[in-house]
Amino acid sequence: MNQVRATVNSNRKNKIRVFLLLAILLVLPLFVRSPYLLHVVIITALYIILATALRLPLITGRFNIGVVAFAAVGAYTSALLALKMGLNVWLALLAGCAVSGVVAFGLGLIILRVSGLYFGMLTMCLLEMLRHYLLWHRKLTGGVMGILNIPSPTIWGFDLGADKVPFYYLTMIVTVFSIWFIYRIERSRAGMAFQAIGQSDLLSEHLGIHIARYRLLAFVVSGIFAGLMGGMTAHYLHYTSPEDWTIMQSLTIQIFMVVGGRGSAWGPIVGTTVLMTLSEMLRGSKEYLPLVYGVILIPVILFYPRGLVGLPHSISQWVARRRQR
Amino acid sequence: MQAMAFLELQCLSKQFGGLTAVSELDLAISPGEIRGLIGPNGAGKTTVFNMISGVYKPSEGRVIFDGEDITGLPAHEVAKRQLSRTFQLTAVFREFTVLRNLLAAYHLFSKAGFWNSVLNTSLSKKEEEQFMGNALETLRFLGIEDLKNEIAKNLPYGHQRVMSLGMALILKPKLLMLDEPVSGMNPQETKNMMDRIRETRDKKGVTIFLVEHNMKAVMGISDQISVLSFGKKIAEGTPQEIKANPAVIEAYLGVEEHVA
Repeated sequence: MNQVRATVNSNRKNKIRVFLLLAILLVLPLFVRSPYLLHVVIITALYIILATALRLPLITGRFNIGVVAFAAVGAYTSALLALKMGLNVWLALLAGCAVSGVVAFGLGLIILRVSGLYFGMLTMCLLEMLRHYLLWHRKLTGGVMGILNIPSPTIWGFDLGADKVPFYYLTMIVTVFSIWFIYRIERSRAGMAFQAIGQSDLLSEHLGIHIARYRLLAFVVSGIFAGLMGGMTAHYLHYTSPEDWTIMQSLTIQIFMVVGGRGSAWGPIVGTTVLMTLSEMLRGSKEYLPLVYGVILIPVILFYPRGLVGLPHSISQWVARRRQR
Repeated sequence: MQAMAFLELQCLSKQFGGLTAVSELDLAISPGEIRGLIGPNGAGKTTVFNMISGVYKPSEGRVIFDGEDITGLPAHEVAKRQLSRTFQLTAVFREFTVLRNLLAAYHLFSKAGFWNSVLNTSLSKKEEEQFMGNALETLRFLGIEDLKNEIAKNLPYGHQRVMSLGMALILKPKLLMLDEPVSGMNPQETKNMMDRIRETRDKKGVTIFLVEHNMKAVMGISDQISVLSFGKKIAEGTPQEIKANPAVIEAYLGVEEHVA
């Protein structure tokens, strides 16, 4: 009974946290007036979408190191459809998601059977291949120059990208929706299948779980939301290029997620927010950023696999142990 | 006794490259029977299980279950056909609670579908409540209901194996294959597990096929025993017959001599 009560309490605590966070996000622009800071918040939120999307196939044991490839697909698809075909930006964004989902599906059928480290390496190679293709097919993609003048989304003629504040709210809506949706998948039967597969292929299969199908599902959903992030980024910056979608960006997202905590939906959120804040504080000395990330990442992997999210629990355990002495 | 064979292995063989693990195995189990499969280490017993449950495709031969040829089907298809199987290592999901372990086994029975489940509709909620009720009942049947919120990896090995029996039972098996169900257990845990297995056959009518090294346990529970040595069946009969069988005795003693 005590354990049930503990779960109900932690659910309630979680709901309070979420509510507080949403309330803060709602009124943030009233207190944060600087367009630059709002820009940082928007970029952070977009990274959070990507980090959250990355987590889903990770649960099933497939670490997609090349995840920004799907974001790139979403970005370029959406940008090209909006710019060259004049497609409504909202539809272009949806199309970007759909195309990255389809790409994830096709690729997934082939590469998901490979496990662990080799899978990660494969996705890294695929990312590089994509980047080279984007550089080469200049006529379509603008090559190294990328695509400029990407239009913003509009509502009834109102340009959401003209000022930071409207796009901030758009980003918050999209980010909250993405986190919520992926969270709901994790809590569903499919999510249970993901967690089972992540622990034991053999046992899951013998309980009737079709592991290939569920791995593919996680991968495709991850691809769709990565594509959403890519599209949003392109329409926000009005610009996209192969430089935006490199292995460095991909690794940075991984670091955000791992430092935040792989085991929880809060992990990518906490990790991205903390590390983005850190990177802003080190704005003056950007060269040291990879070093700082590394210095944080290594102890986390070695000693705190639960990441920052697990920190309160570790601290309270440490305190309890000291009290016993 | 010419009962219709429930599980039949016809000339089943498995080669791994140059190594023949199982060779031309013919075996027939009747419905409601408890069949033991014994043999020295490396005799091929787990390979036989793996060929039936879908981990390996047989190199030759067929597996017929309840009249259907299930040879070479993948594991989730075999599970669908109500043939379940437990494991010795990785018997349970270590990070899940006992209850969640059992709930995971209801996967095949979930009719709610993806969207109902994701959006947590009343259809999905009702289904999950039903599964929860049934899972608690299974835990009660196994005598481990009070452990339901414990995390599996914190439990003693014996309890984990009992749990894995519960998970296999949730699949409503007509035939249950148990891979060394009492390995690593003390006498009390062993007796408890063997009682649960016997009850499963007696009260639920499940046919049992088990591999086991604990001679007292397997002799005490089996109606018939098949003996494997170096991938071939060397004897088959009641526990009394097997105990006295010279080929069986030689297979066990003979192996020790070769190793020395």
